[in-house]
Amino acid sequence: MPPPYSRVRFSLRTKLTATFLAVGLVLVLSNVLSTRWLQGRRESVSAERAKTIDLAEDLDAIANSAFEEGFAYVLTADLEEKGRCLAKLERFGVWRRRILERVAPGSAAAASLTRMNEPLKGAMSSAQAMFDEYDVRHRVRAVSVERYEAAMDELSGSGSQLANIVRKEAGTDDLAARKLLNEMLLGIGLAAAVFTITLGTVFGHRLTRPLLRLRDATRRFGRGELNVEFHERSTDEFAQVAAAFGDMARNIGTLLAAVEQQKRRLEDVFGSLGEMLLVCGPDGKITSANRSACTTLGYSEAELFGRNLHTLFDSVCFDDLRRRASSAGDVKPDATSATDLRVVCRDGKRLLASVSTSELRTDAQNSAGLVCVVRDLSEHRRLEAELRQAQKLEAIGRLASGIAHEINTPVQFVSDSVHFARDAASDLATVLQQYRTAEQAIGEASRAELLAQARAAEGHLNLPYILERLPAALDRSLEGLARIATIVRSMKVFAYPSQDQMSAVDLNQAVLATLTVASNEYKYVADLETQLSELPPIRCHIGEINQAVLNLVVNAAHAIADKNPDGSKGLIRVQTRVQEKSVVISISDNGGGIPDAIREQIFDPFFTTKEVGRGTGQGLGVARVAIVDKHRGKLTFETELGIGTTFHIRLPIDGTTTSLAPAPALTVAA
Amino acid sequence: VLFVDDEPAILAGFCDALRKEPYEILTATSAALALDVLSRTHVDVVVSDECMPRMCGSALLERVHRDYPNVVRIMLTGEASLAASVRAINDGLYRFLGKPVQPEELSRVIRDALKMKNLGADNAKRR
Repeated sequence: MPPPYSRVRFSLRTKLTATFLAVGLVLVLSNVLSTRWLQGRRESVSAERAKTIDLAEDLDAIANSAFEEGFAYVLTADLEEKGRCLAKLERFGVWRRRILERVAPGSAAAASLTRMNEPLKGAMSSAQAMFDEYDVRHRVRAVSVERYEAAMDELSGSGSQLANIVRKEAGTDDLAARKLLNEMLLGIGLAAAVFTITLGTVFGHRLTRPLLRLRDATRRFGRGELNVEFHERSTDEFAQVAAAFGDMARNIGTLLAAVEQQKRRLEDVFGSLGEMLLVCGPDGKITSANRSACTTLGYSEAELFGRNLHTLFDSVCFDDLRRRASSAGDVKPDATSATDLRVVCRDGKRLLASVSTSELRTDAQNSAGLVCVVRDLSEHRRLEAELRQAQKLEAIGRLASGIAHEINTPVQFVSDSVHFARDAASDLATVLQQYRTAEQAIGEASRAELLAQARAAEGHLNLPYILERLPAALDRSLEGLARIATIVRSMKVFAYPSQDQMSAVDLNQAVLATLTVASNEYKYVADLETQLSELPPIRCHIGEINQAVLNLVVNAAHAIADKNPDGSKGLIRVQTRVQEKSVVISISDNGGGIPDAIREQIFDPFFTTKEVGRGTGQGLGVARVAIVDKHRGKLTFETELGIGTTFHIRLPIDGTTTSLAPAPALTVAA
Repeated sequence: VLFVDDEPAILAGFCDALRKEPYEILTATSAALALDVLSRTHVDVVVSDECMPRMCGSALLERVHRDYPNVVRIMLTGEASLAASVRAINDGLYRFLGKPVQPEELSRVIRDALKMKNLGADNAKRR
């Protein structure tokens, strides 16, 4: 809900319109007023000038009538004429002064009027002289008349001359007026401009002040001051803009806080992950890494950034990782692929780790890089190895009583035979002593008597028995000792300490060792038949293979025992052969076979048909994990009810391996 | 004295080790053969191994106990488990011996067994 914005009292549009209207009105008004004023002024000037011209033309008429009246007086001696003439001259002077008052001083008209002064005076004086002469003698001298005529001539022309001058001046006056008009218009324009500028400045200042405040607020906001408070006192749209800006800032602030919180949460999650998390861009450079990655690998975050992701892994290039990620994506769009790789720490230590790689998918790009989740497996591996060892020890423990029996049997007869041999030796020594005594005593007693004594001793000690049985007893002892040695060696092979690395071994040897160790498990229920073909060395974890073979052999023995409750002996056949780049170990029994109903389940962990104490349901499961998961082999079986079951272990032959790992040599009488 | 063991070498060893003992030594390599011998010959003591194919030692001795109650039974086994010992004692076995056994001890045990048997026979006669 947006907060109610303050009402706009004078909108910007109103303000602008009012300003432009005011400026326009001022311009129009000043124009109109000035034009009208000029018009009036022009009219009054031209009326004045017309009057001046009238007056000037009057001058001519006055001069003419004065000339005529002067002559009329001379001709008629009418005194009235004389008076009129003088009055007219007088009037000329008055007119002249009146015109002089009207014209601008210094103008051509004024000069012309001034020039009239001399002829006027000449005319007055010559008229006076002429009248005086005439009054005295009634005669007028020609000279006076001529002077008077010349003066009056000059005066009578001067009026029209002046009118012309004034008319001419009116033209120049018009020009001047137009010039004045222009000047006035220019002035008005300037005034209007000044007015407009002033108004514009004031208004613009008022207009831009909130804008500038908004700009500053926006800048602060842009710099990250999210809680910008922005108050606008004005009442126009800026108030609204300001309010909207404030809203926007607040909303963005809230949003950013939420985003920040989300981001921190994600960071916390990534940081708390026990697994290492590494993200790289499409170029393979690391763009982020979590805390676990930093601490486990020993790098600081800054050191990891920009590093090539694949350099963290032993002998892996970036394309490998990408291929792995994309091949995982082919199968299932969001799948990851986990592989065990060696991770190189900063100090050069190498850790075995499970690495899950997946494409970094964004809306814009299908592959914006890779996301790697790396789990340190060293602890896991160590526990696994311990567990394996424990399982093996458990198996050995289970076999131990059987093995003890196996060993005790030869120990028993070896010991018996050796006792016999010792006895026999002392008996032989006794007989020999008897013969020696006899030899020494020859001659002293009767020969026959001594020999009889010796023979008696021989017979008493049953020498023929000794001679007959001693070699056999010694052979038996040697054989028993060999059997013990074989068992001990087999145990050693069977319990060969497990190693992380596969090593190349002779599978036949291992199979024989396992059969020897397990012999007590089957020999009372079944005969054993082995058909071992020559095999190439196989790279494998031999301990696990042994365990698997053991489990299968024990199962076979159990199957036969279950089928023959009367204790009659079955047959277990163990075969090894090479078949299509694989080594196959087949373990067959002629037990009861596996019923249809449970064929699917036999490899499930904890599935068992055996009573408690005889089986834990782990045997086949363990065997399958060892063969399929650890060795990429196959574990299959054929079974027929009442006839028996055959399990086949198939292990791929690794063509690169030729060297045999040192394993204790074994010879087992099959 | 009848020795029963599925391992001929063991039997041969007993024969040799006990050759000077004052009794005859018979051997059988399986429970069935032992019963056969018992049916044909008089036997005072049966010494049997436990682990044998088909019929195990305890089953054999049980049968001997049933069919020939006067025969002294001695169990000689490589797996001297507690359960087997308890069962053996409850069954009235004379002795329970663990492999490997020294010839001196074996001969002493057999002599004792014979003595006891003769004593028992004398007592029975006297009564």
